[in-house]
Amino acid sequence: MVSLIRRMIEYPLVFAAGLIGSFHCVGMCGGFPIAVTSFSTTKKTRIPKNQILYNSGRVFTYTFLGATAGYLGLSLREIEPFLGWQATISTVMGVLMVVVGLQILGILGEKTLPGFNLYYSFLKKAIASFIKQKGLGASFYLGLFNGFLPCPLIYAFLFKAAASGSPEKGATIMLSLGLGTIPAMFLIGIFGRIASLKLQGSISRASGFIVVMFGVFTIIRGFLPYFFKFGNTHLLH
Amino acid sequence: MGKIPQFCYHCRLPLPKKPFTAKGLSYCCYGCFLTHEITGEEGEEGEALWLLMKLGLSTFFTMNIMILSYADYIYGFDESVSHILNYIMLLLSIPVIALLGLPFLINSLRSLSKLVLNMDTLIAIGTFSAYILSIISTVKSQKQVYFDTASMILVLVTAGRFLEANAKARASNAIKELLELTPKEARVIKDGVERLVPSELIRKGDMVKVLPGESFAVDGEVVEGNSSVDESMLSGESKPVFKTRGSKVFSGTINIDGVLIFRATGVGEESTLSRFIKLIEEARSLKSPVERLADKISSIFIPVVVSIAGITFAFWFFKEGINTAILNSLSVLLISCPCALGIAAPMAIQVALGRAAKEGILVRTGETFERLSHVRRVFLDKTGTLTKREMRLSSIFVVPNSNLNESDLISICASLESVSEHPLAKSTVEFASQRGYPLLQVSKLKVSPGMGIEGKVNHLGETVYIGSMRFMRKNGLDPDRTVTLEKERLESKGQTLVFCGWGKGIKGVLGFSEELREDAKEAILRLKELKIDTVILTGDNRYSAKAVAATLGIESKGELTPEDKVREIKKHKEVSVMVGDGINDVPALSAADIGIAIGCGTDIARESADINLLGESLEKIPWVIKLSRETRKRIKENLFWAFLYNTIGIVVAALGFLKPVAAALAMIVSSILVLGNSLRLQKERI
Repeated sequence: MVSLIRRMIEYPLVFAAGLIGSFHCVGMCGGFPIAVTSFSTTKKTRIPKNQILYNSGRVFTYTFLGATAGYLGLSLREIEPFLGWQATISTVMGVLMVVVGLQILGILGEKTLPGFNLYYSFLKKAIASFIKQKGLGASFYLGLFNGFLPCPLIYAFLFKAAASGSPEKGATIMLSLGLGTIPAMFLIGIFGRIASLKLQGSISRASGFIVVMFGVFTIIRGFLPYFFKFGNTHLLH
Repeated sequence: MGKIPQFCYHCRLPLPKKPFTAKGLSYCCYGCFLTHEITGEEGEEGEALWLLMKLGLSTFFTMNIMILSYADYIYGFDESVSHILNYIMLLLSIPVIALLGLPFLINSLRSLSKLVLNMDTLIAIGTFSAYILSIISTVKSQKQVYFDTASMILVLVTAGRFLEANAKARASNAIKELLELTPKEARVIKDGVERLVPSELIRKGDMVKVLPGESFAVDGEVVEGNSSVDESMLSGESKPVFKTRGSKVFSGTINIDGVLIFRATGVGEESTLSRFIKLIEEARSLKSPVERLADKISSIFIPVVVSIAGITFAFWFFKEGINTAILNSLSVLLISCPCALGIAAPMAIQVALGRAAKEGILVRTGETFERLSHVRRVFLDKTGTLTKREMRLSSIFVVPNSNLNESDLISICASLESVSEHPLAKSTVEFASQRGYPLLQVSKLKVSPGMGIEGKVNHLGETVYIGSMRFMRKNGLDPDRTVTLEKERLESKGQTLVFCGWGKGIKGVLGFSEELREDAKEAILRLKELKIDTVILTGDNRYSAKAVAATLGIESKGELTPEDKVREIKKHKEVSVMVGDGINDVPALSAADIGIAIGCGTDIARESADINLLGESLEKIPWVIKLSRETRKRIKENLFWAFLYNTIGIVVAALGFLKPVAAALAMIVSSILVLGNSLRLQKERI
C-alpha cells in the first residue's frame, strides 16, 4: 500500500522534473525539433506528425535506457559480492545524481573521459545524416538517436532508474521523465522559441536543483530499510 | 593507368596489406567502407539513405528485443507466455539479422575464403550460431533463446566499426585541412579578359589574379601589385609576408590586403602545397617501431585469443552443452577484439605528425618522430640558426687623422655596397638609409668574391676598397697602430669587421655583430625544462661563439671545421639532435641521430634533414620534442591499458562470468577510451 502511494507520487514528480528539466533540453537539443519541422515542405498539417514521431523516438530511447539501467541495477544486486548491498547501491546512485545536479547548476565542473568526444561526434554524424534525409522515418530515427546523446538530466535519472533495481520501474521512471519533456520540445518545434533566453536559462538551472533533490531523496530511501530495521530491533529490546 | 592507392579512401590512413575493396575503391576496413557510404559526400543519396535506415531500423528492433528479454529473464513467465514472447523476438530479430548480420557474415566469409583469419569472421560465426540455436529452441518450445544477444552484438559491433572509422578519419584531419586550402577556382586573365577557371586547369605561364582574402590556387611569381600574404599554413609563422613584383607566392597561402597578379610557375603536383602533402603522406606510410610492435602484438594476440576461445568452447561444451559453450567463447572473442590495440598506436603517431605539419614542422618518418622522444642533447649551429642571417652594424670607427666623420664614411661604404648582395653590405646600406646618409655617385665597380668590393667614388676622385684585412693588404693598404688596436678590441667582442680605405691608408672600420633570434632564449629555456643539454657548434671564431653562448647561458665550441662538428657530435652516446640552417652543415645534420633544418621555407622537397622546420621559429624545436614525448606516453598508456583490460576480460569471459552483450559493450568502451586517448594529442597543449 505504502509503495503504491509512493509510486503514485513518485512518477508524477519525475514527470514534473521532466517538464521543468525540458528547458534544459530545449537549450541543448532544441535545434532538432526545429529541424524536424522543416522536414515537411508542403502543408502545416504535416508538422505534428513529424513532431510526434520525433518525440516518440526520443521517449522510446529513454524508456529503453531506463529498463536497461533498471536491469543493470538488478544484476548488480544479484552479483555475489554486492548481495544485500542494496542500500549502498542506492546511496552511490543518489550521490551520483547529486553530483550531476551540481554540474547542471554549474557548481561542479564537468569532467570528460577520453573518447567521450568520439561517442558524441559519432551520434552527431548519424543525426546530421538523418536531418539530411528528411521524411517521417528520419524524424523517428532522429528522435531515437537523439535519446542517446549525452545529457546530464538523462544521466541523473538513469542513476535513479538503476537504484530502483527493476527494469520495469526503471522504464517507468524514464518514460515519465520523457513524457514530461514532450510539451516544451513539441512547442519549440512548432514555434521556434518558447521563452526568452534568460528565462530559459534560469529554469534550466532550476532543473539542476530538482536533480539534487531527487538525489538526496534516493540516498535517504537507500537507508530507509536500515532505519526501520534498526528501529525495530531497538524497539524489541 | 590508375595509381595503386596507398591510403584508405575514407580515413586516408595507410592501407593494410590486404585492403577491403568495394566498388573499385580501397578502404582499410569494413567500417570505413560503411561510414563512407553513409556520410561520404561522393556516396549516392539513395544508398546512404538505405544504409542509414538499416541502422536505424535495426537499432529500434534490437531495443525492443532487449526490453522483452529483460522481462523474460526476470519475471520467469509461464511457458505459454514465454513461447509467445520468443516468437515475437524471433520476428523482431529477422530484420536485424538480415540487415546487419548478413553483410557482416558475407564480408567475414569473404576474408575467410582468402585465408585471412580475422576476428570478425569468428564473431560472425558465433553470432549466427547463437541465432540458429535460438530459432531451434523456439520451434522446439524450449526456453533458452539468445535473440537479444545476437541482435545486440550486431548493432554494437556495427556501431563500433563506425566509431573506429570516425576516429581514424579524424586522425587525418590535418591533411584534409591542408587539401582544402587551395581554392576550387581561380581568376585567370587571358587576352585581357578575366575568367573563373577550375584550379586544375591552370597551366604554367597563365596569369592569375588574386583578390584580398582569396587564396592562391598554384605557385607563381608576382608580376603586378603589392600585398601582404599569410603563409602560416606553410611556415607555421603568423607574421604576414610582403609581396611585390618578382616575389614568389605559394599555393594554399592567403592574400591579405592587396590585389596581386602572378604568373603560374608551379601547378598541380609541382605546387609547394602538393609536395608538402605528399611528403607528409610518405612519412605516414612508413611504419615506426612502435607501430610495428603493435602489429606484432596483435598478430600474436589473434591466434592466442582464438585458442583460448577454442579451449573455452570445448570446456563448456562438455560441462554444460553447446549453448553455454557458444556464448562463453563468443564473449572471449568479443572482449578481446584487438582492433583498438592495432589502431591506437599508429593513430597517435598519425595525429602527431599531422599536428606537427600544421605547425610547419615536417617530420620525414614516424621512426624519426619516435626517436625524437629519446633526445638528451641538442647541438645548435650558430649563424643563421641561433642568430639572424643578417648582421647588425654595431660599431663604427673613423681613423682620427682622416678628416672624416661617421656620416662621410658610411655614405662612401653604402654607395659602393648598394650593388652587393652580401649580408654585411645589405646591412650597411640599410643603416645608411635609416640614418638618412646620402648615397654618392660611383663608377668602375668590381667585386672580389669572399674579399671585398672596389670602385671609384666620383667626388673623391679615388678608388675605394671595402672588405677584409686580406683585401686591404692585397691592395697595398696596411693598418696603422690605431686600426690594429681597434681591430683587436672589436674582434674580442665577437664582431665581424669590414675595413674601408683609399689612397695611402685605411680610413675606417665597421664592426658587425650578430643578433640573436627573438625566441632563442625562450627556446633554450624550454629545452632545459625538458632536461636536454644544449651546445653551440660553430665554424665561427671562438669569441663570437662565446658571446652568443654567454647570453644564452649554454656551452659553446667555436672554430670547428665541418669534420670537427661531426666528431663532436659522434663523441656523445645519447640520442642527439643537430639543428642547422641546412646549407653549410649537411654533414653535421646527418651525423646526429636526428637532423633538424630550420628556415627551409618552401624548399622543403630539396632538404635532406630528418626534420624540416619551414619557419624560423626556434621554439618549435622544444615543442616538437615535447609532442613526441607526449605521443610516446599516450602509446604506452594505450598498450598497457589494452593489455590489462584484455587479459582480465578474457579470464572473466572464459570462466563464464561475462555475457556476450556485456563483452561487446566493454569492447566498444575500451576502443573508445584508447582511440580517444590517441586523439587527445590533437588538442592537447604542448
